[in-house]
Amino acid sequence: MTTYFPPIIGGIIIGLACWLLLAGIGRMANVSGILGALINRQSASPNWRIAFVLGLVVGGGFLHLVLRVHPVSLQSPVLMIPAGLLVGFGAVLGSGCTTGHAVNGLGRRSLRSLIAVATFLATGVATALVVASARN
Amino acid sequence: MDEEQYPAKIDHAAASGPKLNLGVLLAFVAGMLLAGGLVYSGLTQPKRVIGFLDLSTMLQGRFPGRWNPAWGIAVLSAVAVMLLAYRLVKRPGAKPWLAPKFILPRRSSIDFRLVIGSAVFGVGWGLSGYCPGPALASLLTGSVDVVIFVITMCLGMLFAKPFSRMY
Repeated sequence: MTTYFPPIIGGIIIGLACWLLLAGIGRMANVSGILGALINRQSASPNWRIAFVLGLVVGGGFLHLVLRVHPVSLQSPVLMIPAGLLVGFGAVLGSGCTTGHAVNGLGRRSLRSLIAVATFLATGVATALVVASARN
Repeated sequence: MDEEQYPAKIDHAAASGPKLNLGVLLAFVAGMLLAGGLVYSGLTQPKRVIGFLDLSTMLQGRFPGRWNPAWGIAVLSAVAVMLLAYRLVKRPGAKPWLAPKFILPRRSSIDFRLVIGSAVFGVGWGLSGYCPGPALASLLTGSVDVVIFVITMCLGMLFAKPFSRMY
């Protein structure tokens, strides 16, 4: 049961972060939407977006250091190229990623987001299964 | 789509207003807090994400085998908090602390873009175990894979712009 403690507490912190952005400046913490608007220069008020992305990068760097954890990729670095392209392209086309559609979208009970989450979970599971069977 | 028009009569909507600067600081804190939740929950670890998506691990040993439900537990916890947040924060007539109004997506149609985009996203996510939030939160860890992922992710976002206009 103790192994479920970090995901429960971490999930609550993720929710509180999205709550803070919503209650504070009335915005949705949709990471791909925020980054996408900066990259595609679609934003008339880029400052809060830059600050949010910086907070995510700096805070993440700091916490990885403090908690002494390190993300370990399971694939070769070459596979990160198509993976990154697909994630970036798909998130902008589908107007949301995990924070956008799963955390915020389901939180505001959006049918659109439920469809998006079901879709990316389905293709995510299918891809992971193909990768796992290719490895064995 | 992501409209930025504040009514002109609301003075603190001006970019230089002290209220909005406080809002920028709040956005930075929210980003840090989000990073904290992602790192602590383990969602920045590709093995957690893949360990959730790879359902074949359920067959290894007694059910649920080596399947790791951590991703689902973390996301469900976050959704539970947000269900409460939207109920409490978005009351009729309510305003954010530091902005004139809530700016949320208005689109509600289930269209081609949504389904194809999410499907494409899922393939890249299942392949790498990274999605945009955890990837950005892992950028300074010195992992070459994350750097490659973030650069190509930004390129993918750039490529998606013309398609987003088409549909």
